Amino acid sequence: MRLVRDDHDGAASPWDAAGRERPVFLDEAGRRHRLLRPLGLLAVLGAALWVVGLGVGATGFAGLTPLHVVVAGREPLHLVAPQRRHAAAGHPRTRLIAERGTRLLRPDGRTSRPGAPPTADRS
Amino acid sequence: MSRRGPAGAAPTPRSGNPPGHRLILGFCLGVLVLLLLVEGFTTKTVGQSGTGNGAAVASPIADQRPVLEAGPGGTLRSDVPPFGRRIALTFDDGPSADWTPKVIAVLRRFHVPATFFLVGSQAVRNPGLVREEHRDGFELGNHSFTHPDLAALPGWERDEQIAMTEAAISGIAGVRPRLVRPPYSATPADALPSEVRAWADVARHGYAIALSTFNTEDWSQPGVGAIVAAATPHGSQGGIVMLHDAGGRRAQTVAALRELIPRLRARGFRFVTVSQLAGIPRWEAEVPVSGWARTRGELLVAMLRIAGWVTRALTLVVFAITALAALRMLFVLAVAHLHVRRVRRRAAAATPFLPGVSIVVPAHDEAVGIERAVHSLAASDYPAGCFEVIVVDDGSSDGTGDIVERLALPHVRVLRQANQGKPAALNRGAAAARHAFLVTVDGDTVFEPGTLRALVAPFRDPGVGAISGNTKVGNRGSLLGRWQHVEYVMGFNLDRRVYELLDCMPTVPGAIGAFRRQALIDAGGISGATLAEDTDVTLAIGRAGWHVVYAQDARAWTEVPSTLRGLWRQRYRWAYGTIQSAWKHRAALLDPRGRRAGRRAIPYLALFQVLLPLFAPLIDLFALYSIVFLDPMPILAFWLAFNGLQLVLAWVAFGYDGESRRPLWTLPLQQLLYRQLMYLVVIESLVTALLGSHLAWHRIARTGDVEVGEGVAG
Repeated sequence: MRLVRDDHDGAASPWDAAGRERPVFLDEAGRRHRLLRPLGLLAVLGAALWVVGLGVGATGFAGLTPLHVVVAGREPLHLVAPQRRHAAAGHPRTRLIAERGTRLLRPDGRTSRPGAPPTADRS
Repeated sequence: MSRRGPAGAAPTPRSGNPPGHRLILGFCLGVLVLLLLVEGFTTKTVGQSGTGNGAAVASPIADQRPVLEAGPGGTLRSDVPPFGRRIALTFDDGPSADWTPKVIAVLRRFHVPATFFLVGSQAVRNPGLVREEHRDGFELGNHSFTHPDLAALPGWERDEQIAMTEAAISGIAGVRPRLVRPPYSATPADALPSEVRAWADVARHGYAIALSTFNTEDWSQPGVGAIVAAATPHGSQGGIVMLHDAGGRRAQTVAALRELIPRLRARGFRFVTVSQLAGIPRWEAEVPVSGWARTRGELLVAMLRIAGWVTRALTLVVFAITALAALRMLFVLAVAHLHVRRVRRRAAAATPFLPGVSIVVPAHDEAVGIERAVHSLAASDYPAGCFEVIVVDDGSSDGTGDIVERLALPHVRVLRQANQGKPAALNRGAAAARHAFLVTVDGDTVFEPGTLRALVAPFRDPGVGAISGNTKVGNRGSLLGRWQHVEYVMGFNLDRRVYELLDCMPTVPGAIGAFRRQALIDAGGISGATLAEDTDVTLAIGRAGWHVVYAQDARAWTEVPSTLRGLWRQRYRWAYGTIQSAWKHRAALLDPRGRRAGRRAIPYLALFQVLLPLFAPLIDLFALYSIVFLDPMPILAFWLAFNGLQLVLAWVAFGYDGESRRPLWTLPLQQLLYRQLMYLVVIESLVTALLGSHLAWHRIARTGDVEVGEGVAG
């Protein structure tokens, strides 16, 4: 048996490495952390905006004002006249409809919406 | 896969990660899941085209005209005037990039107006077509968002189907369509009471339900003649003709249109939109929207399109990494086989090679297993006097050094130092070594008698600078132990063979490795710059031009973590250390000396040990996505094929290693927990690297539970 207690063997290391080198990636000053934090928050913000955008976009269309189906020939005046009266009374929703109706109607009672129908049947 | 030494040398002051990063990652993952859910629900649940085939019970609206509004008591009623010789052509289920343009082209050619009942999800995917339809004066209607049977939905979902489609059309075309055509509807006479109730519920919100007079059933592709016949009135009364411009192949519909329009005109019919037919002013049928309402619609369309883009991008990534993983498996299988044949030839021609060897055992608090480890080393079947054992007690507080001293074994030395970490202990031992060949062993690792002889034998080739041994799991009784056993056997008996053949061994494991002193000198010694000093030094040796090989018969039995927490800590250190090492040696990629170690090992590590695990969660996410929204059979088949291939690899690896294949039953279970743990480790490590946090060694609790294989001294 040969047991050697060798606390101070004094052997010189043949290489530079001592095993106590500065760790790769270590950023003691926290510069990278400060740089990346806004990026992380930006990612969270982007994700949150998407969720909010989706939620806002997908909700809130709660229906239309009631439809008054009318007999062709007297349709526009029948619809617009009472709405104008309602608008004068100040109901915001009917005022909007009345304004829109006024804007969209021609004197002959036909719609004047852009695109109203260039492909209308010419037969 | 690599196996490194567990001999934690330094205490673990802190992991240093700011707690926020997990929240950020978790939140972003949650949003990604939501995004996939939205994409799935809005595109993959779209119902097939179809119409009612006649009600089995009497329709409550059989005597009504096909444009209806809400009546009293939850019913529908129609107040529209007689249609006369007027025809409204309608097209459902679009827009479709394939067929809608063809339908529009025919309508334009004949100057015929028409009404398109849009499926919201289709509109989101083809906004340009919706704008084109609107710009050309065609009327737009609502055909739900995903084409479900409205009668089968709860009220809130029905409302949402209509509202989302309305929002989408508002965002794209700036109008809210009042006309709604329920999916799977036909003529008033075909309506079931339950359908009428559901449609009346929709109509209550101010919508007009537009059914049809002539149900062509063109979606079933009955032939051009049949479509034309079904769309042609028998008398002089016109009505609404139901056709489809999406939901399948619509060549017959397009061809039928070309015949139908001239034929009906010849009979004196005039073409109008549904609103014109019903006497509804255009601005009531397509209520203009502006301001916030339109912005809201635009938001919805934009968010859904983002979901679509992200899903498509992720799908591409998933396909790429899946293909990469599968190719790697096949490549590994083929190359490992070549290596086995090469080793057999080498063994046949081998002459004994028994150089002087210094075995260095860095040990910090290894009292549990050090005695057995040192005993096994001292009992090596190697000429006495040709090897020495140097145990470096790295500041142990449990009397590790004293235990070794008390053993009083020949050729065993103990060096003591204050706790400085494993790399420092290795350097200290190597500096004190008397021989030109060094073997490094962890303090919990047990050698077989023939291990040392087998380990150093490849040094007979003067070009070999380092040798990886074959680490075996000594505590494989638990499920976690078996998983690691399977992983080790596959890693050592497949991956390392490939590395050797490609001359790009990335890691000589800390548990059992051998080094030529000159190679270590050329590598600059063992650095403490990374937490994977074994990978670091192996890459450095490779870069210095030395070959690094694998000795499969040099078996060493070690204790692996027996708890998930321990496993997490160990793998966290390995993964982080691997990333550190690859980064440290990144210049080797462009090394003008053209060393294979750098050109091959670093990309391999980056690809298969960092990027692949990093994207692996996507595979799981898409597997779930496919099961929920797509046909689950292909994903099941893929899963079976992938596991089958994995099983083949494991089967072969266990055969090469002479191991019993019984533990392989645990392999499929690995996919459910173990794999996820492994990729979470890589993600966490990458975040730590990016943030530059300090990560110290984590001590893993030892139990000394190491079973050495049969016929092996312990």
